[in-house]
Amino acid sequence: MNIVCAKEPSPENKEGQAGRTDVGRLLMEAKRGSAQAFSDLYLIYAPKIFRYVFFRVNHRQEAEDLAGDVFVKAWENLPRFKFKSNRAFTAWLYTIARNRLIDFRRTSKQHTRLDEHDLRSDQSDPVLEIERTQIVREAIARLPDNYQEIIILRFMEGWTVKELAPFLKKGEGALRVLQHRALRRLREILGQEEVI
Amino acid sequence: MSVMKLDDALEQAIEELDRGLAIPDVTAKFPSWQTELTVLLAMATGIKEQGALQPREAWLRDTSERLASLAPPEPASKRRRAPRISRFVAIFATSLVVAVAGFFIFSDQLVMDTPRSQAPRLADEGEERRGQNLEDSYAPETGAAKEQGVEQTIQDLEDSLEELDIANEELVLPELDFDINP
Repeated sequence: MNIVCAKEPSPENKEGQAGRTDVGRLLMEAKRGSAQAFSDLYLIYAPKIFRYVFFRVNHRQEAEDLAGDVFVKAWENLPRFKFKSNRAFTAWLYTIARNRLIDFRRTSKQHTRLDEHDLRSDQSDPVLEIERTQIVREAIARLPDNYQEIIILRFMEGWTVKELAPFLKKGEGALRVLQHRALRRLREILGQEEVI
Repeated sequence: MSVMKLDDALEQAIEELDRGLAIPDVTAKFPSWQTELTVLLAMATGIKEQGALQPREAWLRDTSERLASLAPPEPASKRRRAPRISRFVAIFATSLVVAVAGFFIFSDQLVMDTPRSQAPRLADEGEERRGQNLEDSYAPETGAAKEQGVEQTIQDLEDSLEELDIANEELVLPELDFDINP
């Protein structure tokens, strides 16, 4: 099978016209019932959703399961999704992911944050072999939920404060304060370690 | 000159960083917050690097295949819930129609009995009673006639059935005489 995840788009506001058309066309086809078109959309958006979930549950296997669930849920609810823009579709996916995480945390007794064993179990992944990466990941996992969200979406995924405001249902001023506090808190968790 | 709040300075500094400026160049633009911004921007840059994390290819492939094989989802229902206010209007209108219809149907009974209004009704009742008396007095004769009529009808039906049987026998097709496997 041809994996096309390499064409992961940059944030939609910076995305080229071709990318927009491509996602829009795939969405229309998927809305008409094409599972193949939706599968192609998945390959575009899966890395983003995976990262969002992964940095919040801090466990690769669980992140994969949850991210997979997000797309199944999205597929089931796609007929009810009203396409306005790629950004709206991205935000919709993140909303599903966020709700799935809430369900997961509610039902899962074994909240895997800071599970030392899990952190070390990713040693096979070359990206995560670097100890620094593990420490930062651990620190992010220790943050409160709202700090995690702004750290992941603002800094990893490149959303602007303006784009984040409707998604996080906060004003831009409040988000500027939040991102400052989140970074400061992360710094406190990392302590004096010169990891960053 | 008023000093910019750190929250706002940080936001502007992050935007500068996104445009490709180096941390020292950015912090130089905000001398009041240079130390704080240096730490926070280094943090932001470090987090950004984490965004390079990619899921496993095997997982991508497996989930992609799983999604491609899913049945089409249930189409969204076209029916929409009527807005609350419209439902109230509908309920009110229906009640009004029922009330008006009920008024017209039962309005006869609502007319008060007066000697003038009683006269035609009493006349009708008297006529009905006389008719009933006549019917009762001729009951034996009419009963016999009814019985005779029923017997005649039964006889007619039996004759018709017999005729139908005969016609049916005539209609039976002769046996088909050919080989279905030539």
